[in-house]
Amino acid sequence: MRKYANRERQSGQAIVYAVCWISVVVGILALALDAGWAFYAARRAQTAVDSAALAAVAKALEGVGAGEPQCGGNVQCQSPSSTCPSGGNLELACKFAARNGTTHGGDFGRQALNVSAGVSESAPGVAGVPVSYWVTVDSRHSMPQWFSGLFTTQGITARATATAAIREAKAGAALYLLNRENDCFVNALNLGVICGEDLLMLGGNSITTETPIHLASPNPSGIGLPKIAAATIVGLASVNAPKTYIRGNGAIQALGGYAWNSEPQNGIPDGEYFTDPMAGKGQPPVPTGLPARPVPGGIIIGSLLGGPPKVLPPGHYYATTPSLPLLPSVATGAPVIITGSVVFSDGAPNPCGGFCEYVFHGGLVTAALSSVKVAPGRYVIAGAQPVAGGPGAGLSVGANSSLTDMTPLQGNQIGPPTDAGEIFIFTDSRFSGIQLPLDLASAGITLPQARAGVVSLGLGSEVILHGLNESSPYLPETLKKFAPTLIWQDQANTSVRYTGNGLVDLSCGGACQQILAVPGSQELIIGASSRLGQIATHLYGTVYGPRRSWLTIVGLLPGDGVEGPFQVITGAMQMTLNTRLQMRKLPAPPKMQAASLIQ
Amino acid sequence: MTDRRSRTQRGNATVEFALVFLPLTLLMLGVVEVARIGWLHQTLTMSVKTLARQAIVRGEKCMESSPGCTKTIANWVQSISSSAIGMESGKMSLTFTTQGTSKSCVPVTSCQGDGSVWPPAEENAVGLPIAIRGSYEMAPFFWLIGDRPNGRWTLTVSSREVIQF
Repeated sequence: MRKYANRERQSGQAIVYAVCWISVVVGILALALDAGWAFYAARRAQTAVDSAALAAVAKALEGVGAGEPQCGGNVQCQSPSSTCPSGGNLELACKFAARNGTTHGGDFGRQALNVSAGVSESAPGVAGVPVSYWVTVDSRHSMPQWFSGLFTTQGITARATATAAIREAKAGAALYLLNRENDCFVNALNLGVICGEDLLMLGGNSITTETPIHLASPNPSGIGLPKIAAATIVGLASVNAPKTYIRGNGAIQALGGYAWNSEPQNGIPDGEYFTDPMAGKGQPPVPTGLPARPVPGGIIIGSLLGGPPKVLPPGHYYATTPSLPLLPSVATGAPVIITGSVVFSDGAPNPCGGFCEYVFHGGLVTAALSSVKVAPGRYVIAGAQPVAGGPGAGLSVGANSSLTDMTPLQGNQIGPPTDAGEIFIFTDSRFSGIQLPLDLASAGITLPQARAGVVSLGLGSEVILHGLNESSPYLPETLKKFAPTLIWQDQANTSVRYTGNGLVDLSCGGACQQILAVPGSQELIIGASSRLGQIATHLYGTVYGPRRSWLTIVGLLPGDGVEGPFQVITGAMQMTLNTRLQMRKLPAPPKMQAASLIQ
Repeated sequence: MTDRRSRTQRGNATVEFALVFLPLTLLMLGVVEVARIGWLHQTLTMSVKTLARQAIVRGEKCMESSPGCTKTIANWVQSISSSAIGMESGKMSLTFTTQGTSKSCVPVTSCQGDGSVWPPAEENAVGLPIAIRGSYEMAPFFWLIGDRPNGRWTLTVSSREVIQF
């Protein structure tokens, strides 16, 4: 009887054991499964919020351009824990998050998506990184308790946060060559129209830079014409740059020998490195209210035989017919030619109160052996007559002549400017704000775009010029955002159409096209020179040309070169014959607005 | 009769217990082990992924903006040691890779005093790839699962990202 009682007490023990064991086992497994799912959800959410935050600031940057973000104006702002607004750049954030599987109220109400944005000097939680506008996207996903809910009510929340911002970036690279795969032009190799070229080195050329080179063309080597590799080298060339970044599959093809000290890196995605640093800034304004300075016969005879240079005060300079009795002078549209020694200045110790203003119609030529000094200021070359169907030259420097500013060399090198510096704007007579002198207007003369840059007309010329100096108190406020630009080629002088605020016009579905009045005028030329074996072209600042324009640097003799802390921003760069580029680091490079993920 | 039945059943419970207990214990340990492996793998994955995500916003442009962006190998090691809950630092290894360089910390505790900056200045440009590879030496309860003579099993994960800032 007692034994029966024992057996009855033992009955069901196995079930109790089994339940205990199975509970423990299933519990552990449940926790691992639920936690694993939460990890997966968190990673997915991170992708969603990263893309969302970046999309929102990229959209905002389109509206901001080079200006200041303003809440409720060109950008949207909202406080933390706000959800998706309808419309504006923040709605785009939500759309991108949704595309990556995260929506506010999604997954049966378990997902929460909050978007906050503001214009404070730093983003919340990202101290030390100065920004002008930020967007933080925060995702919380309360995970469904598939198994662990059997044992606990404590759920797991997968959380992901990303912050992106518009920030001011320094565009400090030596070369920004902006042409992309579909940017075509006629190159110097007589290959006809070629597309996607950023750099051509033809002859015995060398580039030495202290900062990187950026090539925006993703064209690889060996593809059929008209497409051509991002860089082509014909002859012997050497490039010494700390880095060379090439977009996408872009590559270098060589028909000859070349040495590139640091292997160029391609595979870089599109972004800040291949963006025009001047995008969104518009164009530098031109001066107004200047007096007319007609030049009879088109020739200014400066001081000869070592006397003090002839002072040429600010104004509109243009060539007219010679002054003859009974015959009124008529504007000719021809270039103004300078002989002897002159200085563009009002003659004051601090010329023009620190910044002088000049406009030249028809181009400016300095004759052989002349000496032209320029005061700090703005020099607008407002077009020139075409020559033999091609573009005229905007600014030409004669053999053994000099074009220098007020800051002398330090040793044989150019140093920082001691004044407000200069900007040379190359455009035509239709440039916004240009006031044509009455003589030119009444003669019905309009001058189309000319070749920009400083063209050498012979050997032995000397050029010493400094771009705009942002730290000078005399620099006009409207030009500060363009510092340290020295040469500015009109954005209308290229076959890509730009909007008024300095962005490539994409309203055509891609980059909109335009036809130039004078084909070939989108070329900018800089003559490389030397004197007694020393480089004699000294530049300090930024040489700017828009996308699909190109810069040709011409050095005739071995030893000819261009040196200084300068950078080049243009569509493509061509170096021919014998040219040395010695590009030092610009202490204060131009600033640009960039959209980045910052946290 | 009753006594005889009782005698014949004597020991049944012990045998049944032995028959059930061993497989059930093995099953339970197996499940626990699989769950533990899953947990460690997920934790390692999440930690490495989080580390790489943090690294892509510590590139050239970040350093240009703020000196505080700089992070050393020791900082990264500290970061993963504190985020990988339930994992012993002495069994965890990390390899930090950029386009041209690689730095291994085997185990991570060996790099606790490493003051070299990562990603290094010459390899931290926006758009360049970085990768972090993490591994964890675990000793399974069942040494038979191990792929090494000493019964240790190596969990390995890696995360490859592109520098954003």
